[in-house]
Amino acid sequence: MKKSYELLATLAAILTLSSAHGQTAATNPEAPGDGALSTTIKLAPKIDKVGKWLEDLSITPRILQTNNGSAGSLGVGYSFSVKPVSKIEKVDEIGGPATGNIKMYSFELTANGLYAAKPEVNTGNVIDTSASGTYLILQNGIYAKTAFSGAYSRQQGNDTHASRWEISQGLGTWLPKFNNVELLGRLALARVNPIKDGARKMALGEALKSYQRLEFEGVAVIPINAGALQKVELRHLQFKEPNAPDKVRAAGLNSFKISSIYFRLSNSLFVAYSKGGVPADRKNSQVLQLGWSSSSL
Amino acid sequence: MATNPGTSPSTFAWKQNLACVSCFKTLAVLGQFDEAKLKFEKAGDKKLSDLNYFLQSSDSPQLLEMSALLLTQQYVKYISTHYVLAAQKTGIKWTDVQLAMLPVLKDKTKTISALAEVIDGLLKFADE
Repeated sequence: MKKSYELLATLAAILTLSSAHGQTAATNPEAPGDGALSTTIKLAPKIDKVGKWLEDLSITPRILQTNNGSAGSLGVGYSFSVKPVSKIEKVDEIGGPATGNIKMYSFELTANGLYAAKPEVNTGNVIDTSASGTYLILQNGIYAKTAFSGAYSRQQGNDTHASRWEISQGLGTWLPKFNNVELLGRLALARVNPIKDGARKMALGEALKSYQRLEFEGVAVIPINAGALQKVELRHLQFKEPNAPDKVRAAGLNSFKISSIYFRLSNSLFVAYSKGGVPADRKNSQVLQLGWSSSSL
Repeated sequence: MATNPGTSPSTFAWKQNLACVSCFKTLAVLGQFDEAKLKFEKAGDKKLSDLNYFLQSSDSPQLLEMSALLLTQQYVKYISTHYVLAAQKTGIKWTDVQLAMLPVLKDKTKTISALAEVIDGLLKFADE
């Protein structure tokens, strides 16, 4: 509670300071809500590194005007970014043997939006926010990273809103005693917004809605460095929708998997073979970029 | 030593000094390329995306970061025990070197020379 008071005191001080240093009138093309014909009176410029963890803050009173002749509105645009947790532990002094071990974690939150006295004039979002956090450990050839991210936006005066989120766990290891083989994997649970998925829309027979999906990917990197063969990569990618509607399940759209084997030759050529498929929004995950490849679906 | 690594134009030159040789040797020892097929003189122009840690079968940025960071650990373990080193500035630790290497290792347009330049910007080798 005490910290909340400190924050409010800091905000008040910022506004007072900004007013005392003079106000300028300017059009702000980056402000939220520029879908409406608007004029901005810029009161407080963007402020960096406010306090201990408030990265930046901007509060901008605005006059919103419509282009259909109806009365305008007063509004307030805002944006801020906080990073209350961010730490990297550094242990190895240069001059001695390094372990290469790292531990780092961070959390940050950003938000911006535009509030109008007359909601019907506000064509921007009243809130548009995102948050993310990571915890990473690299120790003795083993990598582990836990991460989450999320975003939420909402328009003013109606129920139009959107959200997305993802939590993920990465795990990998480097094996010096096994010819520097690498084993890498990641598992994620995400809310997917299927904007362009004709097959899913046809199966459902209705407008597309967001849904939750599990995603797993594993890759083994095997250096060879002998003859014409530089390395081999084995990859498996799998998607599963845990609570898929019956119609999606019946159409076989609730689960996808693809497996690939990739031979890297000298002179950047490769030979690859893939079997399986991926969801419509991840078609790029199926593409191998150079050389030539053979694919069987 | 490089001047302000990462800024352009670069004054860093790929040549027979410890900054470049150590980078070449360490990557070779870590199995990133076949030393019999890549001569030192041409290695500076070699794209990092041609090395073995750089994933080709997956486009996942998370897995690429994982692979790159694992490489930085093996890299600093090797270079710290095989080359006499000091930091360019007081307070720099091996973690700083690893985190400076990371964005270069993830950039498919960068070369081995660019990696050596970033490392050289933080470390002082015996011949400097």
